[in-house]
Amino acid sequence: MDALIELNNVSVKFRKYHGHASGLKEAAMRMFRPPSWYKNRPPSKSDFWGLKHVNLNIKEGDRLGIIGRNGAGKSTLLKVISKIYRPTEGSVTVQGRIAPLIEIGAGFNPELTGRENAYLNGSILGISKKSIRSRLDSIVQFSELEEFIDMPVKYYSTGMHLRLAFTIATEVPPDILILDELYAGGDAVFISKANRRLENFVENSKILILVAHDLGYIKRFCNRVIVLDHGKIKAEGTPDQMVEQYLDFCKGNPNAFAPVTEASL
Amino acid sequence: MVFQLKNTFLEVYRYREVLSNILSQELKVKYKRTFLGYFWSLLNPLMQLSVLALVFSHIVNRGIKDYSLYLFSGLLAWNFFQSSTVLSATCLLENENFIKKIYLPKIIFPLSKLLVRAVDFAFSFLALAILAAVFGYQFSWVIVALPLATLILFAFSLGVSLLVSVMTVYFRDVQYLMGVFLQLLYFATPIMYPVNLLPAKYAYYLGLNPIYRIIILFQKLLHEGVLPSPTDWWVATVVSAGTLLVGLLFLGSKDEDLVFRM
Repeated sequence: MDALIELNNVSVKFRKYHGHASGLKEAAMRMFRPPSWYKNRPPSKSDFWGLKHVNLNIKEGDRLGIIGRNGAGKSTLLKVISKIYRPTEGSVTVQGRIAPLIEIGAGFNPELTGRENAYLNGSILGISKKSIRSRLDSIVQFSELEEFIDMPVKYYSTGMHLRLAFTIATEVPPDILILDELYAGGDAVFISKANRRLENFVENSKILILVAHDLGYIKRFCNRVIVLDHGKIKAEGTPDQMVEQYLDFCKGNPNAFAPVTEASL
Repeated sequence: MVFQLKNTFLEVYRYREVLSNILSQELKVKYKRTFLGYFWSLLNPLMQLSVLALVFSHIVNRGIKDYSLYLFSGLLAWNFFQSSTVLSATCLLENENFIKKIYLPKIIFPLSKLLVRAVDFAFSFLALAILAAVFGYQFSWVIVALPLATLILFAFSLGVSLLVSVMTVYFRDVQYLMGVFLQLLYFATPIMYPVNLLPAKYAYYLGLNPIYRIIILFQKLLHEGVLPSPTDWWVATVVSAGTLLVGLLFLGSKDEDLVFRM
Protein backbone atom coordinates (compact mmCIF):
# COMPACT_ATOMS: atom_id res chain seq x y z
CA MET A 1 0.00 0.00 0.00
CA ASP A 2 1.34 3.39 -0.97
CA ALA A 3 1.97 6.00 1.67
CA LEU A 4 -0.58 8.76 1.47
CA ILE A 5 -1.82 11.80 3.36
CA GLU A 6 -5.13 13.48 2.64
CA LEU A 7 -6.47 16.52 4.42
CA ASN A 8 -9.99 17.44 3.54
CA ASN A 9 -11.17 20.91 4.52
CA VAL A 10 -9.37 20.64 7.87
CA SER A 11 -9.90 23.26 10.57
CA VAL A 12 -8.54 23.17 14.11
CA LYS A 13 -10.01 25.33 16.85
CA PHE A 14 -8.08 26.16 19.97
CA ARG A 15 -9.80 27.35 23.05
CA LYS A 16 -7.86 29.84 25.08
CA TYR A 17 -8.74 29.85 28.75
CA HIS A 18 -8.15 33.00 30.69
CA GLY A 19 -7.24 32.62 34.33
CA HIS A 20 -8.44 29.56 36.19
CA ALA A 21 -12.00 29.75 35.05
CA SER A 22 -12.20 26.10 34.13
CA GLY A 23 -11.87 24.79 37.70
CA LEU A 24 -14.35 22.83 39.69
CA LYS A 25 -15.34 25.86 41.75
CA GLU A 26 -16.21 27.85 38.66
CA ALA A 27 -18.26 24.97 37.29
CA ALA A 28 -20.18 24.79 40.57
CA MET A 29 -20.66 28.56 40.80
CA ARG A 30 -21.96 28.65 37.25
CA MET A 31 -24.95 26.63 38.35
CA PHE A 32 -26.00 29.18 40.92
CA ARG A 33 -25.22 32.44 39.20
CA PRO A 34 -27.82 34.06 36.96
CA PRO A 35 -26.75 34.36 33.32
CA SER A 36 -26.76 38.15 33.69
CA TRP A 37 -23.80 37.86 36.06
CA TYR A 38 -21.63 36.87 33.11
CA LYS A 39 -22.91 39.59 30.83
CA ASN A 40 -20.55 42.40 31.72
CA ARG A 41 -17.53 40.27 32.39
CA PRO A 42 -14.81 39.49 29.91
CA PRO A 43 -15.32 36.02 28.43
CA SER A 44 -13.42 33.32 30.30
CA LYS A 45 -12.52 31.64 27.06
CA SER A 46 -12.08 32.64 23.47
CA ASP A 47 -11.64 30.66 20.31
CA PHE A 48 -8.76 30.77 17.95
CA TRP A 49 -8.47 28.90 14.70
CA GLY A 50 -5.04 27.29 14.31
CA LEU A 51 -5.92 25.98 10.88
CA LYS A 52 -8.77 27.00 8.60
CA HIS A 53 -10.10 25.03 5.66
CA VAL A 54 -6.86 23.33 4.73
CA ASN A 55 -6.95 20.97 1.76
CA LEU A 56 -3.85 18.98 1.08
CA ASN A 57 -3.00 15.81 -0.82
CA ILE A 58 0.42 14.30 -0.31
CA LYS A 59 1.44 11.27 -2.33
CA GLU A 60 4.42 8.98 -2.33
CA GLY A 61 7.44 10.76 -3.71
CA ASP A 62 6.28 14.11 -2.39
CA ARG A 63 8.81 16.07 -0.39
CA LEU A 64 6.68 18.80 1.01
CA GLY A 65 8.19 21.92 2.49
CA ILE A 66 6.08 24.07 4.77
CA ILE A 67 7.07 27.67 5.31
CA GLY A 68 5.40 30.51 7.10
CA ARG A 69 5.90 32.93 9.93
CA ASN A 70 5.70 32.05 13.63
CA GLY A 71 2.14 31.18 14.54
CA ALA A 72 1.12 30.53 10.95
CA GLY A 73 -0.03 27.01 11.83
CA LYS A 74 2.94 24.94 10.66
CA SER A 75 3.29 22.86 13.83
CA THR A 76 -0.48 22.54 14.15
CA LEU A 77 -0.59 21.11 10.66
CA LEU A 78 2.14 18.61 11.51
CA LYS A 79 0.30 17.62 14.69
CA VAL A 80 -2.89 17.03 12.75
CA ILE A 81 -1.04 14.78 10.33
CA SER A 82 0.56 12.84 13.17
CA LYS A 83 -2.81 12.33 14.93
CA ILE A 84 -1.92 14.41 17.99
CA TYR A 85 -4.70 16.87 17.16
CA ARG A 86 -8.00 15.68 15.82
CA PRO A 87 -9.37 18.36 13.50
CA THR A 88 -12.41 20.26 14.74
CA GLU A 89 -13.80 20.09 11.23
CA GLY A 90 -12.85 18.15 8.16
CA SER A 91 -11.14 14.80 7.82
CA VAL A 92 -7.64 13.40 7.73
CA THR A 93 -6.47 10.17 6.14
CA VAL A 94 -2.97 8.90 6.70
CA GLN A 95 -1.62 5.66 5.27
CA GLY A 96 1.81 4.36 6.17
CA ARG A 97 4.11 4.21 9.16
CA ILE A 98 4.77 7.71 10.34
CA ALA A 99 7.79 9.04 12.22
CA PRO A 100 7.12 12.53 13.50
CA LEU A 101 10.07 14.54 14.81
CA ILE A 102 8.08 17.54 15.87
CA GLU A 103 9.62 18.50 19.15
CA ILE A 104 12.90 17.51 20.68
CA GLY A 105 12.37 14.93 23.36
CA ALA A 106 8.96 13.76 22.19
CA GLY A 107 8.51 10.15 23.17
CA PHE A 108 11.50 10.21 25.51
CA ASN A 109 11.42 9.62 29.23
CA PRO A 110 14.09 11.83 30.81
CA GLU A 111 14.64 9.41 33.70
CA LEU A 112 15.61 6.56 31.41
CA THR A 113 18.95 5.99 29.72
CA GLY A 114 19.51 6.56 26.03
CA ARG A 115 19.44 2.82 25.46
CA GLU A 116 16.13 2.34 27.29
CA ASN A 117 14.69 5.31 25.44
CA ALA A 118 15.74 3.80 22.14
CA TYR A 119 13.46 0.84 22.88
CA LEU A 120 10.64 3.03 24.16
CA ASN A 121 10.83 5.51 21.31
CA GLY A 122 11.25 2.71 18.79
CA SER A 123 8.10 0.99 20.01
CA ILE A 124 6.17 4.26 19.79
CA LEU A 125 7.31 4.61 16.19
CA GLY A 126 6.17 1.06 15.49
CA ILE A 127 9.60 -0.59 15.44
CA SER A 128 9.74 -3.91 17.26
CA LYS A 129 12.01 -4.62 20.20
CA LYS A 130 13.87 -7.22 18.18
CA SER A 131 14.48 -4.80 15.37
CA ILE A 132 15.81 -2.12 17.73
CA ARG A 133 18.04 -4.63 19.49
CA SER A 134 19.68 -5.65 16.24
CA ARG A 135 20.20 -2.03 15.23
CA LEU A 136 21.29 -0.64 18.54
CA ASP A 137 24.99 -0.63 17.67
CA SER A 138 24.40 1.28 14.51
CA ILE A 139 22.10 3.72 16.35
CA VAL A 140 24.79 4.38 18.95
CA GLN A 141 27.40 4.81 16.29
CA PHE A 142 25.42 7.14 14.05
CA SER A 143 24.28 9.30 16.94
CA GLU A 144 27.84 9.39 18.34
CA LEU A 145 26.61 8.59 21.81
CA GLU A 146 29.02 5.75 22.64
CA GLU A 147 29.94 7.11 26.07
CA PHE A 148 26.50 8.39 26.95
CA ILE A 149 24.08 5.72 25.83
CA ASP A 150 23.72 4.33 29.36
CA MET A 151 23.25 7.74 30.94
CA PRO A 152 19.76 9.10 31.75
CA VAL A 153 18.52 11.29 28.93
CA LYS A 154 17.84 14.18 31.33
CA TYR A 155 21.59 14.83 31.40
CA TYR A 156 21.79 15.03 27.60
CA SER A 157 22.48 18.29 25.81
CA THR A 158 20.04 19.50 23.18
CA GLY A 159 22.37 18.26 20.47
CA MET A 160 22.63 14.79 21.98
CA HIS A 161 18.87 14.64 22.28
CA LEU A 162 18.47 15.60 18.67
CA ARG A 163 21.05 13.09 17.47
CA LEU A 164 19.41 10.21 19.28
CA ALA A 165 15.89 11.18 18.21
CA PHE A 166 16.83 11.66 14.57
CA THR A 167 18.78 8.43 14.44
CA ILE A 168 16.00 6.33 15.94
CA ALA A 169 13.38 7.88 13.68
CA THR A 170 15.37 7.25 10.52
CA GLU A 171 17.15 4.00 11.39
CA VAL A 172 14.25 2.01 9.97
CA PRO A 173 13.05 4.24 7.16
CA PRO A 174 9.42 5.17 7.88
CA ASP A 175 6.87 5.64 5.14
CA ILE A 176 6.31 9.20 6.26
CA LEU A 177 9.01 11.30 7.90
CA ILE A 178 8.09 14.60 9.49
CA LEU A 179 10.82 17.00 10.53
CA ASP A 180 10.11 20.25 12.32
CA GLU A 181 13.13 22.54 12.57
CA LEU A 182 15.34 19.51 12.72
CA TYR A 183 18.69 21.13 12.84
CA ALA A 184 18.38 23.27 15.93
CA GLY A 185 21.23 22.10 18.12
CA GLY A 186 23.07 19.70 15.86
CA ASP A 187 26.71 20.34 15.05
CA ALA A 188 28.10 20.62 11.52
CA VAL A 189 29.45 17.08 11.40
CA PHE A 190 26.19 15.54 12.46
CA ILE A 191 24.14 17.76 10.19
CA SER A 192 26.08 16.69 7.13
CA LYS A 193 25.69 13.03 8.15
CA ALA A 194 21.98 13.56 8.72
CA ASN A 195 21.64 15.27 5.34
CA ARG A 196 23.21 12.29 3.62
CA ARG A 197 20.78 10.01 5.33
CA LEU A 198 17.89 12.23 4.33
CA GLU A 199 19.01 12.20 0.71
CA ASN A 200 19.01 8.42 0.83
CA PHE A 201 15.54 8.48 2.27
CA VAL A 202 14.34 10.85 -0.40
CA GLU A 203 15.68 8.59 -3.13
CA ASN A 204 13.54 5.75 -1.83
CA SER A 205 10.61 7.97 -2.74
CA LYS A 206 8.64 7.97 0.52
CA ILE A 207 6.92 11.03 1.92
CA LEU A 208 8.98 13.73 3.59
CA ILE A 209 7.46 16.74 5.29
CA LEU A 210 9.85 19.45 6.29
CA VAL A 211 9.27 22.59 8.28
CA ALA A 212 12.22 24.95 8.27
CA HIS A 213 12.97 28.60 8.56
CA ASP A 214 16.20 27.89 6.73
CA LEU A 215 14.97 28.29 3.19
CA GLY A 216 18.13 26.70 1.81
CA TYR A 217 17.01 23.37 3.26
CA ILE A 218 13.61 23.74 1.73
CA LYS A 219 15.19 24.26 -1.67
CA ARG A 220 17.57 21.37 -1.18
CA PHE A 221 15.15 18.68 -0.04
CA CYS A 222 11.69 19.60 -1.22
CA ASN A 223 9.99 19.26 -4.56
CA ARG A 224 6.82 21.00 -3.44
CA VAL A 225 6.23 23.87 -1.03
CA ILE A 226 3.23 25.40 0.68
CA VAL A 227 3.17 28.74 2.44
CA LEU A 228 1.00 28.97 5.53
CA ASP A 229 -0.35 32.22 6.87
CA HIS A 230 -2.88 32.61 9.68
CA GLY A 231 -3.85 28.97 9.46
CA LYS A 232 -4.53 28.99 5.75
CA ILE A 233 -2.59 27.80 2.75
CA LYS A 234 -1.56 31.11 1.25
CA ALA A 235 0.30 29.77 -1.74
CA GLU A 236 1.65 26.60 -3.22
CA GLY A 237 4.18 25.82 -5.89
CA THR A 238 7.74 24.84 -6.67
CA PRO A 239 10.40 25.51 -4.03
CA ASP A 240 12.22 28.20 -6.02
CA GLN A 241 9.04 30.07 -6.84
CA MET A 242 7.64 29.87 -3.31
CA VAL A 243 10.84 30.81 -1.52
CA GLU A 244 11.23 33.85 -3.73
CA GLN A 245 7.64 34.97 -3.23
CA TYR A 246 7.79 34.27 0.49
CA LEU A 247 10.86 36.46 0.92
CA ASP A 248 9.07 39.18 -0.98
CA PHE A 249 6.04 38.72 1.29
CA CYS A 250 8.19 38.97 4.39
CA LYS A 251 9.55 42.28 3.15
CA GLY A 252 6.01 43.61 3.36
CA ASN A 253 4.55 43.10 -0.08
CA PRO A 254 1.00 41.88 0.53
CA ASN A 255 0.57 40.87 -3.11
CA ALA A 256 3.73 38.85 -3.25
CA PHE A 257 1.99 35.58 -3.99
CA ALA A 258 0.61 34.73 -7.35
CA PRO A 259 -2.95 33.50 -6.86
CA VAL A 260 -3.22 29.79 -6.21
CA THR A 261 -4.47 28.29 -9.42
CA GLU A 262 -6.20 24.99 -9.89
CA ALA A 263 -3.29 23.79 -11.96
CA SER A 264 -0.77 24.24 -9.18
CA LEU A 265 -2.88 22.16 -6.78
CA MET B 1 -20.23 2.14 20.95
CA VAL B 2 -19.23 -1.41 20.04
CA PHE B 3 -17.03 -0.01 17.32
CA GLN B 4 -15.36 2.35 19.75
CA LEU B 5 -14.65 -0.44 22.25
CA LYS B 6 -13.29 -2.70 19.54
CA ASN B 7 -11.09 0.16 18.39
CA THR B 8 -9.71 0.63 21.91
CA PHE B 9 -8.80 -3.04 22.17
CA LEU B 10 -7.15 -3.04 18.75
CA GLU B 11 -5.14 0.05 19.64
CA VAL B 12 -3.94 -1.42 22.93
CA TYR B 13 -2.93 -4.52 21.02
CA ARG B 14 -1.13 -2.51 18.36
CA TYR B 15 0.72 -0.53 21.00
CA ARG B 16 1.42 -3.50 23.27
CA GLU B 17 5.17 -3.05 22.97
CA VAL B 18 4.87 0.56 24.09
CA LEU B 19 2.82 -0.64 27.05
CA SER B 20 5.39 -3.23 28.01
CA ASN B 21 8.18 -0.67 27.64
CA ILE B 22 6.37 1.88 29.80
CA LEU B 23 5.63 -0.82 32.35
CA SER B 24 9.23 -1.96 32.60
CA GLN B 25 10.49 1.62 32.84
CA GLU B 26 8.03 2.41 35.63
CA LEU B 27 9.21 -0.62 37.53
CA LYS B 28 12.81 0.37 36.97
CA VAL B 29 12.35 3.97 38.00
CA LYS B 30 10.29 3.06 41.05
CA TYR B 31 13.03 1.60 43.20
CA LYS B 32 15.95 3.19 41.42
CA ARG B 33 18.74 4.12 43.80
CA THR B 34 17.17 2.31 46.71
CA PHE B 35 19.42 -0.14 48.47
CA LEU B 36 16.90 -2.95 48.64
CA GLY B 37 15.40 -2.41 45.18
CA TYR B 38 12.59 -4.76 44.21
CA PHE B 39 12.74 -6.32 47.63
CA TRP B 40 10.70 -3.33 48.80
CA SER B 41 7.74 -4.63 46.86
CA LEU B 42 7.70 -7.60 49.21
CA LEU B 43 8.91 -5.79 52.31
CA ASN B 44 6.33 -3.02 52.07
CA PRO B 45 3.17 -5.11 52.34
CA LEU B 46 4.87 -7.43 54.78
CA MET B 47 5.66 -4.59 57.16
CA GLN B 48 2.35 -2.84 56.65
CA LEU B 49 0.41 -5.99 57.35
CA SER B 50 2.52 -6.86 60.37
CA VAL B 51 2.17 -3.43 61.93
CA LEU B 52 -1.57 -3.33 61.41
CA ALA B 53 -1.99 -6.85 62.73
CA LEU B 54 0.06 -6.00 65.78
CA VAL B 55 -1.79 -2.80 66.55
CA PHE B 56 -5.35 -3.61 65.59
CA SER B 57 -5.63 -7.16 66.81
CA HIS B 58 -5.58 -5.63 70.29
CA ILE B 59 -8.01 -2.81 69.52
CA VAL B 60 -10.67 -4.10 67.17
CA ASN B 61 -10.48 -7.71 68.17
CA ARG B 62 -14.22 -8.23 68.44
CA GLY B 63 -14.32 -11.94 68.44
CA ILE B 64 -13.21 -12.38 64.85
CA LYS B 65 -11.37 -15.60 64.40
CA ASP B 66 -7.94 -14.95 62.90
CA TYR B 67 -8.44 -11.20 62.90
CA SER B 68 -5.18 -10.42 61.14
CA LEU B 69 -6.07 -12.74 58.30
CA TYR B 70 -9.42 -10.96 57.99
CA LEU B 71 -7.62 -7.64 57.89
CA PHE B 72 -5.11 -8.81 55.29
CA SER B 73 -7.63 -10.26 52.91
CA GLY B 74 -9.61 -7.02 52.70
CA LEU B 75 -6.55 -4.83 52.74
CA LEU B 76 -4.88 -6.60 49.81
CA ALA B 77 -7.79 -5.75 47.55
CA TRP B 78 -8.25 -2.27 48.99
CA ASN B 79 -4.58 -1.35 48.63
CA PHE B 80 -4.64 -2.31 44.99
CA PHE B 81 -7.80 -0.32 44.30
CA GLN B 82 -6.64 2.72 46.22
CA SER B 83 -3.10 2.95 44.93
CA SER B 84 -3.95 2.28 41.30
CA THR B 85 -6.70 4.89 41.22
CA VAL B 86 -4.59 7.50 43.06
CA LEU B 87 -1.70 6.91 40.64
CA SER B 88 -4.01 7.06 37.66
CA ALA B 89 -5.65 10.31 38.70
CA THR B 90 -2.62 12.32 37.60
CA CYS B 91 -1.24 9.98 34.95
CA LEU B 92 -2.54 11.88 31.92
CA LEU B 93 -1.30 15.18 33.30
CA GLU B 94 2.08 13.67 34.12
CA ASN B 95 2.43 12.45 30.58
CA GLU B 96 1.51 15.77 29.05
CA ASN B 97 4.86 15.65 27.29
CA PHE B 98 3.92 12.48 25.47
CA ILE B 99 0.34 13.40 24.78
CA LYS B 100 1.18 16.80 23.30
CA LYS B 101 4.11 15.68 21.23
CA ILE B 102 3.34 12.26 19.88
CA TYR B 103 0.29 10.11 19.30
CA LEU B 104 -0.35 7.32 21.78
CA PRO B 105 -3.69 5.81 22.77
CA LYS B 106 -4.50 7.51 26.08
CA ILE B 107 -5.59 4.31 27.78
CA ILE B 108 -1.94 3.23 27.76
CA PHE B 109 -1.19 5.55 30.68
CA PRO B 110 -3.80 4.46 33.26
CA LEU B 111 -3.37 0.88 32.11
CA SER B 112 0.37 0.96 32.76
CA LYS B 113 -0.22 2.40 36.25
CA LEU B 114 -2.66 -0.41 36.92
CA LEU B 115 -0.19 -3.03 35.76
CA VAL B 116 2.58 -1.59 37.93
CA ARG B 117 0.25 -2.00 40.88
CA ALA B 118 -0.64 -5.49 39.73
CA VAL B 119 3.00 -6.43 40.24
CA ASP B 120 2.79 -5.10 43.80
CA PHE B 121 -0.45 -6.98 44.23
CA ALA B 122 1.28 -10.22 43.31
CA PHE B 123 4.07 -9.47 45.77
CA SER B 124 1.57 -8.79 48.53
CA PHE B 125 0.22 -12.30 48.06
CA LEU B 126 3.72 -13.55 48.59
CA ALA B 127 3.83 -11.48 51.78
CA LEU B 128 0.52 -13.01 52.80
CA ALA B 129 1.89 -16.50 52.23
CA ILE B 130 4.87 -15.70 54.43
CA LEU B 131 2.67 -14.34 57.21
CA ALA B 132 0.35 -17.32 56.90
CA ALA B 133 3.31 -19.60 57.43
CA VAL B 134 4.41 -17.58 60.46
CA PHE B 135 0.97 -17.34 62.07
CA GLY B 136 -0.05 -20.81 61.02
CA TYR B 137 -3.13 -19.98 58.95
CA GLN B 138 -4.64 -22.65 56.78
CA PHE B 139 -6.17 -21.68 53.43
CA SER B 140 -9.11 -23.58 52.06
CA TRP B 141 -9.19 -24.98 48.53
CA VAL B 142 -11.54 -22.15 47.56
CA ILE B 143 -8.53 -19.90 46.93
CA VAL B 144 -8.49 -21.39 43.42
CA ALA B 145 -11.24 -18.83 42.73
CA LEU B 146 -8.88 -15.94 43.55
CA PRO B 147 -7.96 -15.26 39.90
CA LEU B 148 -11.60 -14.58 39.13
CA ALA B 149 -11.95 -12.20 42.08
CA THR B 150 -8.71 -10.53 41.00
CA LEU B 151 -10.01 -10.05 37.48
CA ILE B 152 -13.14 -8.40 38.87
CA LEU B 153 -11.02 -6.15 41.09
CA PHE B 154 -8.77 -5.15 38.17
CA ALA B 155 -11.70 -4.36 35.89
CA PHE B 156 -13.35 -2.19 38.54
CA SER B 157 -10.11 -0.36 39.37
CA LEU B 158 -9.38 0.27 35.70
CA GLY B 159 -12.86 1.68 35.20
CA VAL B 160 -12.47 4.09 38.12
CA SER B 161 -8.91 4.93 37.00
CA LEU B 162 -10.09 5.90 33.53
CA LEU B 163 -12.81 8.11 34.98
CA VAL B 164 -10.57 9.98 37.41
CA SER B 165 -7.66 10.31 35.00
CA VAL B 166 -9.86 12.13 32.49
CA MET B 167 -11.71 14.15 35.13
CA THR B 168 -8.42 15.42 36.59
CA VAL B 169 -7.49 16.93 33.24
CA TYR B 170 -10.64 19.06 33.31
CA PHE B 171 -10.79 19.69 37.03
CA ARG B 172 -7.42 19.53 38.71
CA ASP B 173 -9.25 19.57 42.03
CA VAL B 174 -10.23 15.94 41.52
CA GLN B 175 -6.82 14.63 42.53
CA TYR B 176 -7.15 16.24 45.96
CA LEU B 177 -10.81 15.43 46.42
CA MET B 178 -9.94 11.84 45.72
CA GLY B 179 -7.71 11.55 48.75
CA VAL B 180 -10.51 12.63 51.06
CA PHE B 181 -13.09 10.56 49.28
CA LEU B 182 -10.98 7.42 49.37
CA GLN B 183 -10.34 7.84 53.07
CA LEU B 184 -14.06 8.13 53.68
CA LEU B 185 -14.69 5.06 51.55
CA TYR B 186 -12.01 3.15 53.40
CA PHE B 187 -13.63 3.73 56.77
CA ALA B 188 -17.09 3.09 55.35
CA THR B 189 -15.98 -0.32 54.15
CA PRO B 190 -15.61 -3.21 56.60
CA ILE B 191 -11.91 -3.86 56.15
CA MET B 192 -10.47 -3.11 59.57
CA TYR B 193 -13.64 -3.93 61.43
CA PRO B 194 -16.06 -6.82 60.99
CA VAL B 195 -19.26 -6.16 59.11
CA ASN B 196 -21.41 -6.91 62.17
CA LEU B 197 -19.87 -3.93 63.95
CA LEU B 198 -21.89 -1.64 61.68
CA PRO B 199 -25.23 -0.58 63.13
CA ALA B 200 -28.09 -2.34 61.37
CA LYS B 201 -29.47 0.89 59.89
CA TYR B 202 -26.33 1.26 57.76
CA ALA B 203 -26.59 -2.21 56.28
CA TYR B 204 -28.59 -0.85 53.34
CA TYR B 205 -25.92 1.72 52.50
CA LEU B 206 -23.22 -0.89 52.70
CA GLY B 207 -25.02 -2.75 49.94
CA LEU B 208 -24.53 0.31 47.74
CA ASN B 209 -20.80 0.43 48.36
CA PRO B 210 -19.33 -0.97 45.14
CA ILE B 211 -15.85 -1.69 46.46
CA TYR B 212 -17.28 -3.67 49.36
CA ARG B 213 -19.03 -5.92 46.86
CA ILE B 214 -15.61 -6.81 45.51
CA ILE B 215 -13.64 -6.88 48.74
CA ILE B 216 -16.10 -9.32 50.27
CA LEU B 217 -15.03 -11.84 47.63
CA PHE B 218 -11.48 -11.72 48.95
CA GLN B 219 -12.60 -11.86 52.56
CA LYS B 220 -14.71 -14.93 51.92
CA LEU B 221 -12.09 -16.72 49.88
CA LEU B 222 -9.09 -15.97 52.06
CA HIS B 223 -10.47 -15.51 55.57
CA GLU B 224 -13.68 -17.45 55.82
CA GLY B 225 -12.51 -20.10 53.41
CA VAL B 226 -15.90 -20.37 51.75
CA LEU B 227 -16.99 -19.80 48.18
CA PRO B 228 -18.88 -16.52 47.72
CA SER B 229 -22.53 -17.05 46.85
CA PRO B 230 -23.62 -16.80 43.21
CA THR B 231 -25.26 -13.48 44.11
CA ASP B 232 -21.93 -12.20 45.45
CA TRP B 233 -20.27 -13.15 42.19
CA TRP B 234 -22.74 -11.67 39.80
CA VAL B 235 -23.21 -8.42 41.72
CA ALA B 236 -19.46 -7.92 41.80
CA THR B 237 -19.16 -8.80 38.12
CA VAL B 238 -21.92 -6.43 37.06
CA VAL B 239 -20.51 -3.61 39.21
CA SER B 240 -17.01 -3.95 37.82
CA ALA B 241 -17.95 -4.60 34.19
CA GLY B 242 -20.34 -1.65 34.31
CA THR B 243 -17.72 0.65 35.82
CA LEU B 244 -15.17 -0.42 33.23
CA LEU B 245 -17.62 0.17 30.43
CA VAL B 246 -18.51 3.64 31.70
CA GLY B 247 -14.79 4.43 32.08
CA LEU B 248 -13.97 3.28 28.56
CA LEU B 249 -16.84 5.22 27.04
CA PHE B 250 -15.99 8.33 29.03
CA LEU B 251 -12.38 8.24 27.92
CA GLY B 252 -13.52 7.57 24.36
CA SER B 253 -15.80 10.57 24.37
CA LYS B 254 -13.08 12.91 25.68
CA ASP B 255 -10.11 11.30 23.94
CA GLU B 256 -9.72 13.89 21.21
CA ASP B 257 -10.42 16.86 23.44
CA LEU B 258 -7.87 16.02 26.15
CA VAL B 259 -4.81 17.33 24.32
CA PHE B 260 -6.43 20.77 24.04
CA ARG B 261 -7.03 20.94 27.79
CA MET B 262 -3.50 20.30 29.02
